[in-house]
Amino acid sequence: MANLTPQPPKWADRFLEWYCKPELLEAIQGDMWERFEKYVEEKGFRRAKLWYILQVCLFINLYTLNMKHLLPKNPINPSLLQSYFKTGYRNALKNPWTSLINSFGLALATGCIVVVFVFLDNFFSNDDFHEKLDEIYVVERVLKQESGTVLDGRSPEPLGPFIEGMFSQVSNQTRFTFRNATVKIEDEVFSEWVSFADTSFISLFSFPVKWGDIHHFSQPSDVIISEEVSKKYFGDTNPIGKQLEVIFQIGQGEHSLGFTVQAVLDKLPSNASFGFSMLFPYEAQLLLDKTGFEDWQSKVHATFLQIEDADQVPLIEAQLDQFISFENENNSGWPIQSYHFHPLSQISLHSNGVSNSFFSNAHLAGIILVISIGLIILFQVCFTYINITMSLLTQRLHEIGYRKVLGVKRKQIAFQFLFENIVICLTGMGVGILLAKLLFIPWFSSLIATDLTYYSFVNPYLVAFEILLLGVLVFGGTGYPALYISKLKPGTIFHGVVQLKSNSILKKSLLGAQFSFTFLTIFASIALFQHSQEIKYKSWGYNPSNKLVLSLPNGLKFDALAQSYASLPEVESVAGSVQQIGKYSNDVTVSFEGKERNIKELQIGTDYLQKMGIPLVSGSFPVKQKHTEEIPYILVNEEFAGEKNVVGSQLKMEGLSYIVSGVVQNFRQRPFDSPIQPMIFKFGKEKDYNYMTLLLSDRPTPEFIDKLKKTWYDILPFKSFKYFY
Amino acid sequence: MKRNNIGEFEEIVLLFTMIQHPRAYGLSITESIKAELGRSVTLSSVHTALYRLEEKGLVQSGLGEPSSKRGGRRKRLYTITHLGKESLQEVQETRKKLWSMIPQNLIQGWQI
Repeated sequence: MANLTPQPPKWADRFLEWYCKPELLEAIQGDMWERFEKYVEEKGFRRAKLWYILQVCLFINLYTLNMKHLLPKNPINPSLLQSYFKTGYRNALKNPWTSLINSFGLALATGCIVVVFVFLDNFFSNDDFHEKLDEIYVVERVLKQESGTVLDGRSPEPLGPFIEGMFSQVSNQTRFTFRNATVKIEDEVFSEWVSFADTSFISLFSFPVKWGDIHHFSQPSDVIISEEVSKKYFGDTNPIGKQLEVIFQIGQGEHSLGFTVQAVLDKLPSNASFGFSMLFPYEAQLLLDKTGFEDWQSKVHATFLQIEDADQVPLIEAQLDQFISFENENNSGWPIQSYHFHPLSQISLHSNGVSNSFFSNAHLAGIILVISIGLIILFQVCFTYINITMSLLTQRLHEIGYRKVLGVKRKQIAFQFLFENIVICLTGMGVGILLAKLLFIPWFSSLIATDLTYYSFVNPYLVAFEILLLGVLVFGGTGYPALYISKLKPGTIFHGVVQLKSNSILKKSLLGAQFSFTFLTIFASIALFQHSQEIKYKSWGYNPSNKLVLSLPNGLKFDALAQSYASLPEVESVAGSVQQIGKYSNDVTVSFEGKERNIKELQIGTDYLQKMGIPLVSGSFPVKQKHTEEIPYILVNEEFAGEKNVVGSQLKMEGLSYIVSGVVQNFRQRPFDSPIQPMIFKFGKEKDYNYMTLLLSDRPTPEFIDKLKKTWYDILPFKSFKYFY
Repeated sequence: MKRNNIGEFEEIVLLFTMIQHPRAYGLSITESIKAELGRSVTLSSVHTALYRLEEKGLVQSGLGEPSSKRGGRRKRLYTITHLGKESLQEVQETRKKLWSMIPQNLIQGWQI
């Protein structure tokens, strides 16, 4: 009879009996059996079994759980812990150096790993303080060049409003652009990068506000300033309602506008990919050099779009293709192939390869390097810790033997070692986290020029990561020895037949791994150091140190300033240029040997390259001359010349012809991941010079810069003094 | 007296305990809810509600007679307490009071 009635799965019943409180079990199990029998009749045995298993799981809750099964049977005696602690401490004192190396190494490594973690977390949570981050896209242009396509971060001024009006899926757009201006406070003037944005900027982004109402941003005279700017001009006082006079350079003249401070931002989070120092309403530009915003050739630095449904993005991109003619019509540069919308949340890893992009960025290779260094340190510390702990444990075999003779259980011995190691690891990691917070992170922040010191250590990911690390260290360091040694019989221990030290394969392989990780770390560090040295000194193709560059206001008498600076003892020579090596260059089309070529152009002074230490490969530098006319000579780089001798050849550009007077060695205009491009060097007129490069006999000191500043204001009062290295 | 708030589901379970008095138990209530209200509830949620009601003192329980079904296991039979009846009445009166406060024309409009 019993065989004929179908019964629920036995294991499920046993599980129920195990976890359920005995006083509730009978009623629950009875109800389930009763229902099970009906279920078999209605839906068959298989379905009924599945139902039963599901019900067993569903019954797990706080009312039914039998806590006796879940809590350990023998609670740990606190006085026992105390004696474990004492034994551990005495054993550590027996080998003071080994213990010190072990715990200090642990602390150092934890510190490094925490820094790596903070850096990566900061990087991958980029811009997450913007509430609408996942809906914000940055417009980029795909430009067609002969070598393929390139991405450009700027976009035509009318594009944003055009897209917003055209596509209902785009709920908001904002344009963002910036330029240089001078802020005048009493008699002092300061140079500042100031930004302009549409009013929607405020609702699209969620920058933290310190003072004032950020939504008060619609009048052309409103301005929102950063905390830094507020400190610089107003000290610690609240500047809301105060006036700021800002002078803009327009053509050859100057235009001064007054603004009222409406809001002050709080300190920018360290993971912000962009920010601003002063933000003016976009329409304020109408008071300057703009008459309207309809010119497709006029570019803004960024157009942001808000698109709620990410699936719509490729559709809008595709539909926009029919409108590229708006921009291509009167385009003198490279033609647009299409527009691309990139999510703001992923801009940091992306913007490195985008020209004219202002977002803070990082190269993927750098991130991978940091991750690998973190992993290597992690493995190394684990292996080192495991090895040292194991070798220390072998010295305590007699202790274990005695305890076993006294009748201590295996579990208790294993627990003693686990406890001891938890204490050591916790202390080591605690010190490591302190080291990271107080020493490593401030140091690392100054190295990568991102302020990570405000990183909150009460971060769920960081805590989870630390617990994981603790688990790996404790169980890695003691799991095997604790389980193995505790198994040994007292007889074997006292006979001295235990051979833990020499011939254990596990031990050997652990030591081998530690050895290789140590070498890997050393080599990686050397490689990293050499690479950074190379970046610093060699491969740029010119020597960027011991130079100071001043930016010049328009229409300045270059000669007067150059002469007074050249007379300073610290200054070896002075060179002027329209553009700077390493800064922006122009894209031009030249006709050379019957072919049209799109190349980069840099406008410089006649002796600029010579003074920057860029050697000639062939030909000669043109004679330095005072000129107001176009100079008919031009220099090219090796990349442009190729294998041929081009000195003396003719080159046409913008209707004028030039003679190649020399070929200079290749140098880096852009960072290392971009290839060296063919380039020509045109000589600009002295009155167009934007930069003055001072070559110094030594690194510039603050006193020297003060001296430069004083001379500057003597010659050019009310023109702000701006310099960079 | 501590005021006991009972939730909607607890109210239903309590009502069925009274309807099936004195032979109400976990499975019978589960099946009646399904049959009368067309609501599919799991056995465990009814059991949990009963535990909670017992904790609040609104029902009391005792083990019934063993039977040949259920593998010979006894049922846990639930009966309502005086406190349980009071809270049910309180719920009903609160409802009545709230209903009486609704403007008449609104209810009339409904009926049409």
